[in-house]
Formats: sequence, C-alpha cells, structure tokens
Amino acid sequence: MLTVALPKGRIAEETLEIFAEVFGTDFAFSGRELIMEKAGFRFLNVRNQDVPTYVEHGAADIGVVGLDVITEKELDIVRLLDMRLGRCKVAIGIKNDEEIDWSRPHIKVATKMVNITRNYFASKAVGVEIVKLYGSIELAPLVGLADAIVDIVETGTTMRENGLKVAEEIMDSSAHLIANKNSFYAKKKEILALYKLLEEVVERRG
Amino acid sequence: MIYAHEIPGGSRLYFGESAALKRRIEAQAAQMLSEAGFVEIVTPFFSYHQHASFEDKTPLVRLGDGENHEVSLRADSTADVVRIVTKRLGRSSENKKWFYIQPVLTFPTKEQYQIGAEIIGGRFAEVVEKAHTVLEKIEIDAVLQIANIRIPQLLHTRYGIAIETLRASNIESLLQSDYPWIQKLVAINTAEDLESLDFYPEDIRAELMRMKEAVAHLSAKENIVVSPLYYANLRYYDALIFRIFKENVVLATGGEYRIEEVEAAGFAVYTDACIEYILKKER
Repeated sequence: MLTVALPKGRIAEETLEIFAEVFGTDFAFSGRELIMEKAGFRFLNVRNQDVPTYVEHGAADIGVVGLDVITEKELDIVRLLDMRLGRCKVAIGIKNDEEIDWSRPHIKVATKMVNITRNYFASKAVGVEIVKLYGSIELAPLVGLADAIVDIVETGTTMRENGLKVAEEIMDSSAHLIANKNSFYAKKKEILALYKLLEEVVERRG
Repeated sequence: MIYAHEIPGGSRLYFGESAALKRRIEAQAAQMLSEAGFVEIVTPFFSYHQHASFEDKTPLVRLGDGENHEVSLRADSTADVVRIVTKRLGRSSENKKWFYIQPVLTFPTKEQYQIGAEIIGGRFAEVVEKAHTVLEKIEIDAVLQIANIRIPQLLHTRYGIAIETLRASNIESLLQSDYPWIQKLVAINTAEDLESLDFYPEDIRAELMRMKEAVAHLSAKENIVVSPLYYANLRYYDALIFRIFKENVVLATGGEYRIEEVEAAGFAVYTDACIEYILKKER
C-alpha cells in the first residue's frame, strides 16, 4: 500500500479527481477525516507546508506539493511529476510608483520564502535583509517594514488591490508529485507504475 | 539560557536499556569482525588531515594545536584510518583489514557512533557482506541498495544531464531525456533488470556490468535493489557504493574508494540508527 500526503483544499481535490479518472472510482475525504484508505492507497489530508515533511520523514511514500515549497525547503526527495495543478509564480512585489534599484547596497524584503529570496538576491549580487512574515505579506511595503516582498502570485489581484505590482518573476510553480527517497527505491515498480498512469491523465488534461 | 538538564543538540545520551543495546551491538560486531580477520584500531579524536577529505569544510569542528596548526575533530573515520594504517603503521604491519568502533563529530555538536571497517585493496562484495552480517546479528532485515557513482558522473560529463537534475533525483526531467535508454535506466530496480544490457551505450553498459557482477558475488539474494541513477556526493568513493536502509532509516553505507592512490573498500554501520530502530520496533 502506498501512503499519499495531499495538501488540504483545492490541490487535494484536484489530485483526487485525477486518481478517480485513473482508477475509475471516487476518492474523497469525508467531513474532517484526515486519513482515507481506498483502492490500495492511504491518503493523508495535511497542511500544504507539511506535505514535504511527511514525505521526507517517510510517514508518506509520495505526496503532492508546490514546486515553490520543494525549492524553499531544499528537500532531499525524489521529484516525479508536474501535476500541472495550482499554477502560480514566485515574484518580487513593490509599490506601484517604485522600481527595484539593483544598484543599492542592500534591499529589505518581507517574505515567507526565506531561502528562495536569499538565493535569488545572492544571484544578483545584491545584499538582502529578509524580514520573515507568516501572512499578509503585501502589507510590509505599505507600512515601511520592507522595500519589497517576495510572494506567490496567481492572478496578481491581491497585489493590485494593495497598490503593489510585480517587479520581477523569480520562478514558475505548480503542484508536483514527489516521493520519499527510500520509498522510491524500495517500491520503485509500484511508484513508477502509478507515475505512468497519472502522467497519462495529466497529459490528456493539458 | 541553558538549563541544568540540557545537552547540546545532536549529541548522544544513552543509559540503561539503550546503553546496553549499544554495548551489545558493538560487542557482536567486534567479535564477528575479529573472527573474520579484521584488526581493531582506535584513531585520535583530533586530526590534522580531515580538511583534506572535506571539500566543504562546514561540517568540521576546527581548532588549533600548540603551534596553531589547524586541527579538526574527527568528522570522518575512513580517511584517518587509511592514512594511519598506510603511512604510520605500514612499516610495522602487513594487515590489510581494519575495523573501528568510534564516533564521528561534526559541526556544531553532532555525534554519530559508527562501526566501520576498511579493507586495503579490498573488494566491494566483501564489505557489503560484512555490513550485512553486522545487521543480521542484530536481527535487522533491511533493504540493500547497490549503486554506481560512475553512472551519474557519465550522464553528466558525456550526456549533458545537469548535475542538479541528478542531485535532486528529478525523475521527471530524466524521463524526458532525448536518450531513450535513460528511461530504461530509471526503471532498473532488481538484478534481473541487468540481464540484458545491449540497449545501453558502451560506457554505461560497462558500469552496469560492474553492478551486475557485484550483485552476482553477493551471497544475500533477497531484498536487494539496484539503483544506477542514485546520486551520492561522497568524498572519495569512486565506483560501486551501497546503502542499507529500513523504512526511512539509513543503517549502513559503504563501497569502493581511493584515497591518495590507496584503493580500498569499506563500510560504516550507523549504531545510533540501529539502536533507534530496534527500540522503536520493540516498543
């Protein structure tokens, strides 16, 4: 039996729709259920940020999580398949009437994604002071807490409504199927067989 | 503030049942290795040569000797054991098989107890067998994974696969390669998958053949997985390597290596991981 960690919400629902299409049966968590067993799988309903932890520690064999989370956490896992769900970008946001001045000695940036931010600014050879926040990141430049933000952008509406614009895109992200390293090698045939079935549906859906 | 009961993070404390278990594992391993002709060695905690073994010096706990020459705490036993037995004891001992039971210490405060063995001029199959036997003695039935570092190296240097793709185990990217044989390489999982190798280019085929022969020489036939694409950034290992794991716990690693023109083979069993696994199983 493969244990699959899914991020609560829309990505979990869409992933289960793909499983349903592959196996011809409905998969859905009922109510506040956190574990669902069906058709030879055990699905875990966990918080998005926790999916890689469950997979990396072997509590789940495989999981579905955003590429931004994989990159941010610098995980030692196996990357299997772009599920093409939850597409978004990681971008730098600044106030509408400003531009990023890359010639400044350092920039103060508010973000949840500390590693992605540090690595991106290091690649530009610009010193960065990172202010770690846990939510409402858009607020930081408006109240002078930071010069810019690094955050997830789906449609850009939240940034626009708060007087911010995308200054630069850092990376594209979407939900990926990942595997625990030991599980991948110990259950390779099973995991690659599932990979092929899911890939067919993902390709078909485009 | 440090409380009176605190110990540094990553350091090890065993008492009662766990300390007795540690002693038993080490005693059984020492007896088995001695009976197999290995001689025990205990190397210094302090070393002048560790920095030569580590490209990234971050794991080293560094200090100075009386003349302020750089000294490190032992972060890796293999390099020091090989250097001492070939450079210092080489004149007085013909012995080629050595074992040690001692911890390694890495920055900032990590301790890891190991049971290790090195065979100067030794072969892969012999060290796999010995590591496997240590685990058999303590009744851990784990997965033995055989890999070959040269295959990811060849994929990078001759076939243009990005090292990051291999390091990150990006299977999706590997499966999209222009080389159709890479897809077959990804799927290799057991010794049977190595039976027909005609499909692969000559250089890859030679390395797969090396893996096939290594597996054929093992007496254990169950629970073996073959992973030609397994990437490991190991310091001096240059060909066949192995890991032994159970669930998410790596219990032992080893393989063939070269240190300063000395060809050898060795392994380390991770005592702390064994203790943790056995206690968890018993509970």
